[in-house]
Amino acid sequence: MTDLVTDFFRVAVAVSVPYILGGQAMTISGRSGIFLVFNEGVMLASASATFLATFLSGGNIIIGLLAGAAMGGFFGLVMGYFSITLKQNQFVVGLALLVAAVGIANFMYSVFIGVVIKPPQIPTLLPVHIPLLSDIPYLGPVLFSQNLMFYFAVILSILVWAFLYRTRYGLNFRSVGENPRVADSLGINVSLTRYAGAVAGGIVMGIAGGYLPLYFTGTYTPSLVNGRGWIVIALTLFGRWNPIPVMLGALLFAAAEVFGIYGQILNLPVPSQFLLMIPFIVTLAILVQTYRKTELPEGLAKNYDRESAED
Amino acid sequence: MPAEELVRMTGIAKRFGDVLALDHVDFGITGGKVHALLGENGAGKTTLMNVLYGLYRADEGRVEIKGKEMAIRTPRDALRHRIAMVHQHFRLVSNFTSFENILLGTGRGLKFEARAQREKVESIAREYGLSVDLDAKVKALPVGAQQRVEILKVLARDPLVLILDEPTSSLTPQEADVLLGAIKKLAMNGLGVVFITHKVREVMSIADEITVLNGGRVAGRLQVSESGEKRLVELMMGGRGAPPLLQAGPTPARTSAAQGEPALVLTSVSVGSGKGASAVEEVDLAVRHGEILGVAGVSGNGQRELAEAIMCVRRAGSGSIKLDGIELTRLNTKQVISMGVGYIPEDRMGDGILPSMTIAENIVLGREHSPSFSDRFALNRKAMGAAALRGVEDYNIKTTSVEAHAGVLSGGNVQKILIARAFLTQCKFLVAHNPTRGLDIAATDHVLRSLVKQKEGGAGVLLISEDLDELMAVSDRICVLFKGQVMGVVEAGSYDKYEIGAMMAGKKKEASAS
Ligand SMILES: Nc1ncnc2c1ncn2[C@@H]1O[C@H](COP(=O)(O)OP(=O)(O)OP(=O)(O)O)[C@@H](O)[C@H]1O
Ligand SMILES: [Mg+2]
Repeated sequence: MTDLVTDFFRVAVAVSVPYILGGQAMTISGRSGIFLVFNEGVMLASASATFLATFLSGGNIIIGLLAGAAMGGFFGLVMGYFSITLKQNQFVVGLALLVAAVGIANFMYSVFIGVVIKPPQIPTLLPVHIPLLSDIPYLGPVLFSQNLMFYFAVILSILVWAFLYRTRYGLNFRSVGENPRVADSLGINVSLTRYAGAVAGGIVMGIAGGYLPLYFTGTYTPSLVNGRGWIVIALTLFGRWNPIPVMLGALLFAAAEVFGIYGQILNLPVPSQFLLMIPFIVTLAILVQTYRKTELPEGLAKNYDRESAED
Repeated sequence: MPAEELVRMTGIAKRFGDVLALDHVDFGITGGKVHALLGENGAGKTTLMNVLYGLYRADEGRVEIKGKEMAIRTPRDALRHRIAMVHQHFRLVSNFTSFENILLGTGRGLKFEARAQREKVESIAREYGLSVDLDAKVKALPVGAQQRVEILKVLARDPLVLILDEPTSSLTPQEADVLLGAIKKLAMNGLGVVFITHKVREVMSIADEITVLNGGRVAGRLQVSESGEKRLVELMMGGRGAPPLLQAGPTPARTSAAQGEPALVLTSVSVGSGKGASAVEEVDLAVRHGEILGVAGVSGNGQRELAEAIMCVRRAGSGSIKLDGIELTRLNTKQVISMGVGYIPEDRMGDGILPSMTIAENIVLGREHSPSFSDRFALNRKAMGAAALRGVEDYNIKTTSVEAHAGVLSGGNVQKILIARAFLTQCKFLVAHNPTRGLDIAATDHVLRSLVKQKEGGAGVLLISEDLDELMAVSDRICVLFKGQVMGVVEAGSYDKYEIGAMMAGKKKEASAS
């Protein structure tokens, strides 16, 4: 039984990686005022790019992740161009890009791989046991015997927090997301900051997408993202656009998801469809609970035009 | 050392759509001098300064700094030339602390608990008497303190040219005096200061030179030394109308016959401030129909909470608030308004205006359900337009159309919308919080006259203001709030500025010997 529990948590932690990364992507761009809604599509495009690059490079995971990051960064840049330079509604642009990204993901796969009977496989991420720490009972296998991407996600979360809340750059960066008019009148470059936020957010979202084939399947399927892009939005709201709570929220959502899968394996007397709904039900419950209290960055998703009227 | 000309603006023109906001204006700023920029609401004062600060791009004209032509395209450029500006509407990040706001955009570095910067800010605050809680979130600060944060923010940047766009409009007389003193000192240190205001007294006390704008054109330029107060008032009124009420002195004592039925009765009302301690404590007040009760006090002593409790924007913690015998504490704001209560809130950009709606919609806001503006299902746009037009004319709101977005109006014209809204109909009761803040002299006078008219029409009026002259000019009684408590009530006819001032500082009124 203890094995089963340890196992559950170990899997939950590994499953949390795309949530943590996606949540940080949302947080970074959101703190500069850009609301990413294209995740569901962009994660898929990046998953496709990562898979293909890894496959074509003969199994080089690093090259694969870089390709996924580049794909995400590209979408971040396009998002920035339409919302910052052309001042189009962020939700409209985001949804359009989502659809486009899904198309690109499937298109790339069909160009490079085509229709095959047995889908090609790439190597998946292996656990890395951290010396000493991984020997701690319970905690060791759960937290310190994970693949490198988990450590990367945790370190990134801490770095994002330190940047946003412990540096002058971060203060300026956040002011753009709170109130671009104030930031502008103090000589802070609003457009540049928001582009940086959008592109950085896109890159991290791309890495989150790249993790999916590298951990879950070893191959590309069109349903690889499976709602994670939306859950990432929910958990960022839950974490109040603050990197540390967002990371913890990601772990919680991952646990809910894995619980659903375990329930099926253990043949719990509950319909499997219901078990698979668990993460979404948790999402909903948490949203209802926290939504009223959530403090969004005040300038979130509001485009800024210097000469337009005061608002 | 002869005073050096720091800035010269020549032939500045700026157009917003069809509106020619600036019509080839010339303007100069000299080191060591305070240059007052005057003009009625919508004259173009803010626009001119926004051009200098790089917020607006001028369509025509040139800017020279110390004799060299410079292109100022962004506030960053302006700051590089050590031009700093305090804006008419607060430019603060409300979720940040005061200190974080002051730090914004200055310097780099990893840790932003910058010790040196903090000491510098503290010493500036001490030197100019601008004390603020550096670690409080801005949204928790009263308006006066927010204004001080704004000023500290620009002073911390060591400006050479300082633009102050109506910096005193949200300060108490005492706070304003402190600021005026600070400005004098800054000018003595060689800064060139541009000072925008609508208050004659302030111009007389600190300005060296004056430029008056009217409809985007320079209407006059003079030295303070060569102009008297009367001439100044005339210039600022734009040569219109009777001498203002404000200049007529305090209201005379009332005859006892003028006392009407009680309208609003507060019995031991306490209101929380959201920070534990209550902002209003055990207040008893009664306002009669046909009476203006002035509420004096330094801002942040519970005025806002009091007004919001009456309007049910905020819940009173305990006590009873009755209007014509009906308990208000369990109603919501909409119900209170539909009982015929007018409200002019303190924070007009935040609470009072929907910038992306039209002027007409904003003027009838809250009254759109009244039969005169809508039938059962649809809004009557024509009636709304007509009412709005009346407001626009009465208050001389500068706009091309009542269908324009409210957000494009000049600062003072935004205020006028709220006031037009409150005075749209004869109220049963009116709560007015700093209703003349930011208004030009003519509009201020119109507001004060409208208050008196509401009172003569039978309304009870609660006038909360930090401007003692204004309170004394129209109130029948003045009650003084300090730390949420009533220090005493003074009757018209026995107003004494110093007595009221002492009460505002926390001295209870001596019980009269009888
Ligand atoms: N961003 C803008 N968009 C459109 N019109 C504007 C804008 N800013 C100002 N205006 C218009 O330009 C004119 C001048 O406005 P400005 O704000 O300079 O007046 P002001 O002299 O500062 O008045 P106040 O005393 O009320 O602050 C007004 O008619 C105003 O409606
Ligand atoms: Mg103005």
